[in-house]
Amino acid sequence: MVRVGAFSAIRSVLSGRASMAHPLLNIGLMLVCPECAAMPSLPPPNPGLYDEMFDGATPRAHYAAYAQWLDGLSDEALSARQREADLLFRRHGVTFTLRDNPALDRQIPFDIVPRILPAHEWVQLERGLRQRLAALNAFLHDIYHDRDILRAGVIPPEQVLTNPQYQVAMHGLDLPNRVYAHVAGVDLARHSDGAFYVLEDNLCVPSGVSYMLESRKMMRRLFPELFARLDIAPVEHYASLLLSTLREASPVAQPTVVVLTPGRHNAAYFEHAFLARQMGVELVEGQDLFVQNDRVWMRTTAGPQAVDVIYRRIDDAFLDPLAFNPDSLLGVPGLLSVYRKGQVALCNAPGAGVADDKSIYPYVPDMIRFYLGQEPLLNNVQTWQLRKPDDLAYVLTRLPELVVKEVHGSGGYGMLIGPLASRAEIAEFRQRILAAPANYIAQPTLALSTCPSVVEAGLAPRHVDLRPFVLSGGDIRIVAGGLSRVAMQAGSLVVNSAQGGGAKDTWIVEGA
Amino acid sequence: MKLHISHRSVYHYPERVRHSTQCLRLTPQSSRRQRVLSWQLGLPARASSGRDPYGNCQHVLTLDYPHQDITVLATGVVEVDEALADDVDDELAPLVFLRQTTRTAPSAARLALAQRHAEAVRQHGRHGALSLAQALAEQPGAAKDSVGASHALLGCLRALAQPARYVSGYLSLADGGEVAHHNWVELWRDGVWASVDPMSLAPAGGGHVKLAVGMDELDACPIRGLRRPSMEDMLRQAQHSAQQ
Repeated sequence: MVRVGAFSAIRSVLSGRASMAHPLLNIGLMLVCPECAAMPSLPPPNPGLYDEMFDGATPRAHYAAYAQWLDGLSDEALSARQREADLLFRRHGVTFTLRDNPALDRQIPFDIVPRILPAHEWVQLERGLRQRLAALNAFLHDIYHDRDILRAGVIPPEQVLTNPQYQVAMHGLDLPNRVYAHVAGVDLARHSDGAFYVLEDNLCVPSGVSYMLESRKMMRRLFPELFARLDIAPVEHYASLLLSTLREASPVAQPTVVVLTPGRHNAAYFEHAFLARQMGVELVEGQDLFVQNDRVWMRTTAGPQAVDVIYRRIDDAFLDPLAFNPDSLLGVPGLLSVYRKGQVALCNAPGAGVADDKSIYPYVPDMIRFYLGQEPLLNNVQTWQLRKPDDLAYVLTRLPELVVKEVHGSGGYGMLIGPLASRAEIAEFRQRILAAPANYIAQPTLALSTCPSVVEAGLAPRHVDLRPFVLSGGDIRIVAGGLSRVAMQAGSLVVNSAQGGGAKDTWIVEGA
Repeated sequence: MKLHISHRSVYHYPERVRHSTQCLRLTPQSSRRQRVLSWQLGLPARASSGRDPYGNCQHVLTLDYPHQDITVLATGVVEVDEALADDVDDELAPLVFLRQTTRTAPSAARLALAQRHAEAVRQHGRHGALSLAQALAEQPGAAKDSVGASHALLGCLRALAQPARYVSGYLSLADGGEVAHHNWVELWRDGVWASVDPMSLAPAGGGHVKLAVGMDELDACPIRGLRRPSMEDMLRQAQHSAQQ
């Protein structure tokens, strides 16, 4: 077991170890760590990474109490706690199905070292998140009504109107509180400059909140002494905030809420069941619901029961085979016709995905200025849009140092990580780009911050990001923190749950 | 031209089903070029009516009892102004109709053909589209029905950045007096939807009654029901008659 004091030494060992065998194009890393992934010919553009716990060899102020406690813990005790955590998670059945092996439920790797943020830093992030979601919802209302932002020339109309995520069915509908993205999972990462950047706004069916809640439960069981000593902001009330938010999506006074899941074969089925149980509402599949006389009904043993709000965890295309994908067996035939009459609420609204599309992402700061008249509080990552000839020309000369993403991709699939890609992979990706430039955007490689994590050899820095969950109803509600996703392999930046990333508890600590 | 339409469709399941939900787009709406004087739908149960995303009149019919057939009878009188080949409505931003769907996305061969008519479509709109439709019809393996021909033309027009939409309706053959389901295309030019019938290679005339518009057949077809895997391709149209 390597002690905390030897931390910088571990880091330099890691820096020298650049031999990660990744089928990169398929695995799709979140971001690139130039230091960990240094290729001999490529000097790292960002010397040094930001570590969440350490500034050099010294713990940061908000980690001081934790680091002191950790110092007093023996190697054996730490390993034992980690083993205990693994066991508890397995017993609880917290799983997420991997895409390359859908038959296998995989336990989410859980790391017992918390990711701590000081309350004053969180307050800034939270203000930024509120501002961002207010603008994104205003944008969605606008593009399905008067399209002011398109008329004003802020965003080219065809970028929005021909986007596959733009749902014609939403045109002219008035939603309660003008909210489209009731539940958002905004991915943030800290760069080596110490600042947070928004990686993407997930506005369709963001998952992961169950890991946030289970992680916290686990940490409270494993480390009650830390929760007694530190002033850690609670997250346990998330489900009740979610239920309030869902209820506010309906004009009905006491609406009946259900969670609609694609079924047990879905990667996030655990979470669907978990949230339904936590909220005390029914978990249903498409076949449990039907449409009649302009209402949605749930089949129950006591006869049909009217449903007012559907927290749907299935994609737009599968919601209603009579309106979208006709082959869908997951949805409810006729659902959209009831929705369009305002007789049922869908959360999130169909068509919300146009606002989190990677081709629209570069315009979010402009949306904030346009709708709110404010300067954005959260940073966007600089983005080149390859549909623009100038951007395309620039990016083609810089492929080895950039990240290129497909505009409609998600889950970390279908991207090029320049610094980690072989010459052949870059050449192949260049052809794909040239065949359809408008399908791609490019961004500089960010150096994701690291956080100490338990590995076989002891503690070692691993890359982390942060996904806070933003609930929009009558008010915007956010529990402090969110899900810290961690790439469990040295140097890897795969933090997506779908790709095998792990989870850490996130602590927002007062008085640090 | 005044058209008296009586149209009976019987949809037949090979086995009894316990429950079904259908979307019907069988009610024409008045517009600049057509006036609906009377219209009635005869349905096996009460259906809820509303407007679909494209502004079409839509009925949602749920049958919650065992059944094997669904009979729909549509009757009414529509007056069509044969002098007008164009129509107007402001439901949606026309740019929406640049999107390809799985049914319209053109093959490489069609794309190449479309490119040869790019200038004609850009400059002359409908006339360009008509010559494009003719070229498509002359291709080997060209679509023989109005569904396929409309999809082919839509795919090419959209590839040329010309917004275009699918139209489903009735066609009355001037001499025989028979009325049949028919499909055609409208393209957005100079603030109006200009019609092109890829089968007759002419604009819509006095015999074209519009029922619904959409991105493709799926959005606009007269009856759309659910096919469960056990009934794959079993929901079919058994009888289809109409008269003027």
